[in-house]
Amino acid sequence: MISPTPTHRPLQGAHARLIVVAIVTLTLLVGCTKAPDSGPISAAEARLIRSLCLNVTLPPSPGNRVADDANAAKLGRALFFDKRLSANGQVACSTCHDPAKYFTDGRATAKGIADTPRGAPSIVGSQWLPFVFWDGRKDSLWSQALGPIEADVEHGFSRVAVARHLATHHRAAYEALFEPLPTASDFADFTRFPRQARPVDDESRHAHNVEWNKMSTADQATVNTIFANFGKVLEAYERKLLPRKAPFDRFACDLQSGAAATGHKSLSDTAVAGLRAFVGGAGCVNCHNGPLLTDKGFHNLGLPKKPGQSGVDVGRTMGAGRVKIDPFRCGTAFSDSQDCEELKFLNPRFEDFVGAFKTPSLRNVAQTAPYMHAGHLKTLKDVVKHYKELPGKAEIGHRDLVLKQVDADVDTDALVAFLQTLTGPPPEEQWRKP
Amino acid sequence: MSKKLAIAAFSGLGAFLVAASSFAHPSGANQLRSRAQYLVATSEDWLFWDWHPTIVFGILAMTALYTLTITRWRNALAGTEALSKYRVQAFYLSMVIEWLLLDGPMHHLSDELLFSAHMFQHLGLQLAWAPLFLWSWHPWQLRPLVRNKWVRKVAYRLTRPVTAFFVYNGMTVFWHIPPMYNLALEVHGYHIAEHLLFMSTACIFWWPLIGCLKEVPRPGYGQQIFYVFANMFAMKILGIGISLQDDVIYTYYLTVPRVWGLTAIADQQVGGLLMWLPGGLLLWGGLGYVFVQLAQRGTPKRGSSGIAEVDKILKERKSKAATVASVATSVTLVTLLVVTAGCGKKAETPPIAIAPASATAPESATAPATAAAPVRVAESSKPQLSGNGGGGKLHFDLRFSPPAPKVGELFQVVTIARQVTSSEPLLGAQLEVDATMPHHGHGMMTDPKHAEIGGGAYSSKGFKLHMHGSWTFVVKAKSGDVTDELRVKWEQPPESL
Repeated sequence: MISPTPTHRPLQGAHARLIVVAIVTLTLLVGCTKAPDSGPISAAEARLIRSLCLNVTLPPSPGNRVADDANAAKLGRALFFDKRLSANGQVACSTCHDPAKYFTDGRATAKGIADTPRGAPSIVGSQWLPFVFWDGRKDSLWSQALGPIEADVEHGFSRVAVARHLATHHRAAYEALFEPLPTASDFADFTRFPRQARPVDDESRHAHNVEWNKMSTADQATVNTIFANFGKVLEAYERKLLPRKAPFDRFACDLQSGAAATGHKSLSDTAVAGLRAFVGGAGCVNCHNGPLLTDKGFHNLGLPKKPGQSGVDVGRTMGAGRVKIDPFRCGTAFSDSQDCEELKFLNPRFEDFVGAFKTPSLRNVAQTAPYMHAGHLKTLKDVVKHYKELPGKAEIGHRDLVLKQVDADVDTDALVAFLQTLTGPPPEEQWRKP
Repeated sequence: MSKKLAIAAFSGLGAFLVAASSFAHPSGANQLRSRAQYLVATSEDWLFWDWHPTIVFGILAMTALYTLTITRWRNALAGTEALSKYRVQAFYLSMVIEWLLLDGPMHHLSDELLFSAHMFQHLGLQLAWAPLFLWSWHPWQLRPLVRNKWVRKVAYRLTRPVTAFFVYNGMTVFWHIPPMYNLALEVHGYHIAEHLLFMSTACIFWWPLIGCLKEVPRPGYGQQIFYVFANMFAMKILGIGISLQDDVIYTYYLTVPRVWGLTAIADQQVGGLLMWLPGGLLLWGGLGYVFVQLAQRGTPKRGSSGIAEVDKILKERKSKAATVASVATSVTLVTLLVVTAGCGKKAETPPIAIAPASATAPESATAPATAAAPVRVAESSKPQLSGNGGGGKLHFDLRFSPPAPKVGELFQVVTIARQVTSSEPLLGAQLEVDATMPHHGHGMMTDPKHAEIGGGAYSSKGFKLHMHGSWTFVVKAKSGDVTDELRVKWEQPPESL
């Protein structure tokens, strides 16, 4: 054993080859186990994928008693496309929510009368969201509709003008659903009902606010009620703009455990690989879950400030604070529901709301570029790249800790291919035109 | 030492690992989700054999390197120097030990479930693996490493007894500071770093006792004795410090399922004891070893390597020991192969924990009651979550309404709190329930409201879990001087509204 061994020959041919082959094979096998998602689909994966299937029913909207009324929907449709509901007569809801573009506008940030700081989200699929707007400052679709109408840079309009418009152009349809409107001669009296008047909480010297303060309390209450009803018929219309089954759903809804990774009819192999990364290694499903691929929550992605952006967008923190005091929220006299659990338990002081924005639904995402709350990212590839790099720091607050960098070897093209399969047919044609 | 034995050992080890690999848990599950599957655990799930590519790759690479040095490169490196059969066997044994400690049931037990298992793993690495591993390298294998002057200088400095003492014990103490310990458990990257550091500093620790290079010499036997004593004390102090804590200081273990009925505090005490006693014993062994050398040979010349003395002592019992060691290694390999064949399938079962369909019972619990008349809370339905608080004073049962809330669905939690010792319901307590995802660093977006219902029942409304995965529910109760806290895991399935 310890006796000095005479010099011996180094390993000869066959033995050397055996060792090299063994090492190489084992190394490759180790490499193979790191390869993502190449075996058959496991039970857990199939379950997760099935949970994304668009097998849903429209939830009720208890705060809006005409939410499912067909006539309300028709009135809402007429109003949605009406450009006269704006200060310059050029802006309708459909200006930024264009039916031809899945009810968004293809711009980084929306432009009504002037540029706004955020993009226009698609209305398709918004019916399931407990809070709407990028910062969730409204808790129903009908109260949301009231926001852009009165925003200076969007419609620049006001509730008194809306009431007058309804009385002038849609009296019969309105009065079939709600209480009678003030008469034509009432509205002809501009001292009682100014041309433009609305409360402007943060700018008391705004012309519209000055006019509003001149109105009697009773008239203000009347106009507020009409305004709320206006929102409700718009919601009735918007509830027709439903997401429809996409090629992804043909694959996902019946997916069984043990299904092969390739060779499916409804989804290409690349898209299947992308889907498996989506629910697996890339972790997208942590926020983009459920049939609409959104957790209906709010997260800070640590997006950088856009060049030329003034100020910092605080996001959900502001939104959560505002929705709790919104005059048209659930539980107020204008809402037809007093059961307001979402609002009651909302915690506006939740730390991670700072700089957080709504998780958008990924249904039809390939058709709703550019992406993020101010159109920071132009293409889906850019989006995946962002999640792989997570560059820079959040402009305010901190990037959500749930976000881990997506592994560099996750196939970007596969993820994009999968995301494209989420595009379903647009809502029914009758609702896509006035 | 024959090439054939080396090849056979290496191939056997490789084949074993390849066989075990076919039972690996599903690739493609990201680390968080696969951890989530573990964390679902009923306590029996720890039998699952893990298989970490980084560990296996590391072991295979090290094995390949060693085998190459004793076969292909032996001529160039060793020249006429001896090849010791025992060292070679020690090496392969150390690789098996390393694999058993880092993968396999020990991985799950120590990473996820038990502080004491984690202690056992660390002690195994530092006091069993490290000396075996270190001793298995012949001086001629290590000599190429220290050809570089700077490497030699650094190695020399690091392995002087005083430095080695501080490096080894400093590293150990550092990772036992509760925030670092918890961090290593929560972020796997830190855990890998922790193990690598433990393993390397353990080698530094053992060098003054069994190092074999004359370029980096061991100190004299007297110094070695002092060195072992000092390290024993350091380890005992740390072990005592941990086992005598009143409260759980490694709070990560409060969030995991209990195994074998060990409470978190008992588990912590066992872990501390493991460090105190067997840790100490092993070092007594080291001390004995040094004494034997001293007795046999006296003080070696300064700068001598001492190999000849060591091998001579072992030679006396060599023939029997050699046979036993070879047979034991082969038997272990075969046994492990057979055992792992049955254990891998657990990975396929999806996470558990959907509540039983038995139902709406908690609704009845919301009827208000006076404090005097206890409310008949329907306890016939199985609680979704249940457990004793970490302080062992209160038992909590949590029922959800609806019983299987979906992702994004608002739900209510009704908690029933009882004293552990007397089973009396806890009345008039301030009780709060919260849910977080510690691995994601966030809680819920809602702010639940709590109210006492009566009869030990407390309602918490406004829960909403906005994503699937591993949530931790935290129940805190305080009534008079009775305070307790329960942390328990809930696996939220992915179905959403």
